[in-house]
Amino acid sequence: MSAENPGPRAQSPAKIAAGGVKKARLDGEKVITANRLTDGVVIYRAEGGAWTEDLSAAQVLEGEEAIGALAAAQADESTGVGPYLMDVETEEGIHPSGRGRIREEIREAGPTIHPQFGRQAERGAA
Amino acid sequence: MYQYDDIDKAIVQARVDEFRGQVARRLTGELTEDQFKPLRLQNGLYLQLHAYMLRVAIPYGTLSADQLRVLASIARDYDKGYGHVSTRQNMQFNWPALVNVPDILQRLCDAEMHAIQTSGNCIRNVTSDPFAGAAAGEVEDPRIWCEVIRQWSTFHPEFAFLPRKFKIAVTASDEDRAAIQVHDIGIQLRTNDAGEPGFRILVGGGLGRTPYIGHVVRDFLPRDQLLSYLEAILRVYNVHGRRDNLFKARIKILVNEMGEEAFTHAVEQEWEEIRKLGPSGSVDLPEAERARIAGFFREPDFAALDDTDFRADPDDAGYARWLSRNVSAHKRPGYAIVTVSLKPEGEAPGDITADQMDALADLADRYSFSDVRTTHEQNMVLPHVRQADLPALYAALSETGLGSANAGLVSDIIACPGLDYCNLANTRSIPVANRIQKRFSDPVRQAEVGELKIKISGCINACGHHHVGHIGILGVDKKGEEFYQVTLGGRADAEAAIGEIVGRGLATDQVVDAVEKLVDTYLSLRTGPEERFIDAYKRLGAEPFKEALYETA
Amino acid sequence: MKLLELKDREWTLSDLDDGPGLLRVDNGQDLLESPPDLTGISVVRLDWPQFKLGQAFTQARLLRQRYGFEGQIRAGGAIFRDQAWHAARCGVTAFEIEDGAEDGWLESLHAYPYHYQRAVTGEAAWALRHGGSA
Ligand code: SF4
Repeated sequence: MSAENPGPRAQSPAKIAAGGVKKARLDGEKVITANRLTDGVVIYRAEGGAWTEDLSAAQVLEGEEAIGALAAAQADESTGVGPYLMDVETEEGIHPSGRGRIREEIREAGPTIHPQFGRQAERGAA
Repeated sequence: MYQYDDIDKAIVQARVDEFRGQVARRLTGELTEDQFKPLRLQNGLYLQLHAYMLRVAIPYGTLSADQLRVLASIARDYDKGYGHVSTRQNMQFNWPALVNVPDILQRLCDAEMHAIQTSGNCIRNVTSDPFAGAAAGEVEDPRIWCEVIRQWSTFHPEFAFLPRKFKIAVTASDEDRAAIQVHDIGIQLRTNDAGEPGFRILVGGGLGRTPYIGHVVRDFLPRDQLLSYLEAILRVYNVHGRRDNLFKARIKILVNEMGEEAFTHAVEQEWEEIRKLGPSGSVDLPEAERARIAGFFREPDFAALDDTDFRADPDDAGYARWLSRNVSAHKRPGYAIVTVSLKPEGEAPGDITADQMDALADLADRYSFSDVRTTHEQNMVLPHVRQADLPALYAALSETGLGSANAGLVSDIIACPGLDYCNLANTRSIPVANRIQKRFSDPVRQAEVGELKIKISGCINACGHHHVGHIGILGVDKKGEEFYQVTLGGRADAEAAIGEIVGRGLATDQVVDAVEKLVDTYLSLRTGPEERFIDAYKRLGAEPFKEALYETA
Repeated sequence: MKLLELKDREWTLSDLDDGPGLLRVDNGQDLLESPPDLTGISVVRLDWPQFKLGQAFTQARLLRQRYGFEGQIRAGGAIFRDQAWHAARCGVTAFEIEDGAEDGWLESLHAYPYHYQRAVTGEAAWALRHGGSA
């Protein structure tokens, strides 16, 4: 990469996305999320760096700590693809919040038009 | 339809093997995601919200019944039992696992299908008229030229890493059912005054962030020089197209920044240079190869039939509506073209289950020479049905949920996947489509409203073609809430136009009311039922509609 | 870094050298209207600052087909092995590669037995179908 053309990493050391191409700020509580390499399933980063499908088991991070954990997640591409920080709120469990709330709720649960697919289906059956 | 020879087979098989190796290299860590991403994209594999999405190419929207069965088997074995017809006539699967994709590609390859170049900054799947070979008024079957372009563009070594994606559409009649004016290159096969066949070439149309109608760069190109001319256009684009800004990288921006004249001049000059290579260096096909390909698109064995008065007074009201909306004139007496609606109320526009695919494949075998089409309006077509078979076909389609009598009506909505599936979305699209369908669920009312094309995109990328909807709906994000902007008067037919934005965005619960107000306004102002929404809009302009929308909203 | 050079169906591997007679052509240079000065040049090095900056494919083809350059055309920068056969068909004959990477590059270079269209190298399918050259 030449100086005029820094790679994506160089431009944005941490992608603090609020979903899709939207940018967000490093305010408040975050969870690291990604898609699983082998099948694309939505996953969240738990304490110690393991990935989980269960948002309630994710590690909630803030500030520099969040950036540090994100850098670690980005460095290891063997499980989580495209990790970024999503906004959460932690009253009564962990829930998506902020600008990307609808998107993250859909990622977590499944498509709203197909309640038979995604985690919402398993919960519905339970 | 086209059938692979050993060369086609070997090329597509090599692609499967190559991708199998690339997936393995990604899984072992030899390839980083940044390196792998362009490779998977050139095989149609995206990473979406919930899973990977595989976009299978349906070249120019033509499938055999057996190929449709293979798609059904993939939906069943590797996905969740359904597929989705996209606005580029392709079929998307929303849930495949990366580790299974090489096997899926193998299954496609065995049925002479692939996912090559259905994404990435390359020449994408060529689209065409879903009525090709069936409608009257064609110079010849446009799919001959689509196949010529498919082969030329597949793994074109010079144009696999363009500034941006590149879409080509081909028609062969004056009626445009392939939206050629809003493609990077639109190609219309026509005859000149001397009766010779050739092409009108349009460049620089497109939707997305900055919609444009294409410019005619050549009114008549001799038929046998198509590929060298395309090569000149692509080369000018590859050299001069912008790569500094993703949103300015499409050829439409280049054409408009250079100016139509300068662009045309650059293309013509490059074409002259290319032609200097002479026959031994020519990229144009020899006549023998054109004839070989054309041979695959010969007419099926039509029977000598007479037209019947099949539209006369059917007793069943549903069947009558279906005849009037979903059955179009065929070029041969005694035959008809049937549009199979994938827009039943409450389903995702364009979705089709594996069972429906199998059923439709059987019906294609029985009633339509095993020929099935996908349309950019997210429906399917049985192109060659005997008029005498229409009642039986309708009954069979209805039984499997494919009998909706709404082609071209207010409930026949184009909608992109939106935020229910798409990684780039601002808002959902499909729930909006479903709510509009519900509001207008009375079939009598729909019939009264007549032709009305509503198109919905979940973000400015405009995969739902909202710019060319009679009523277009674009999802925008306002501080994390879903809002929708309405455009009016767009159309993608021979009189293509970009819709006009009518005012501020509307909240989710206001959109359906807004559509209803627009429809009511139209009904109160039209000169009669024969004046369609789009005609009334053309006559009246946006004003009365804007007034109706915003006076009380 | 090594230089992987293709010669017909053979290949050689050597140390990279920037000897005299080497011309570096910038990825953004427009060769449509005129060639670079090729006097005394035996090697033209084309550059991929990023893999997706595909202008160099056109540059290679123009050098071969429009300007008749017969020396080595070398590809360097961020081009990766899966793109190499595209470049080779456009007239590139040598690649700057990481040490020990040649097996992978050669595998990718030979991944496809046939090609649909005419380019600089590799007969077009239509020519094969109708008996040699058209
Ligand atoms: S228009 Fe936007 S939301 Fe819809 S499919 Fe395209 S990119 Fe996704």
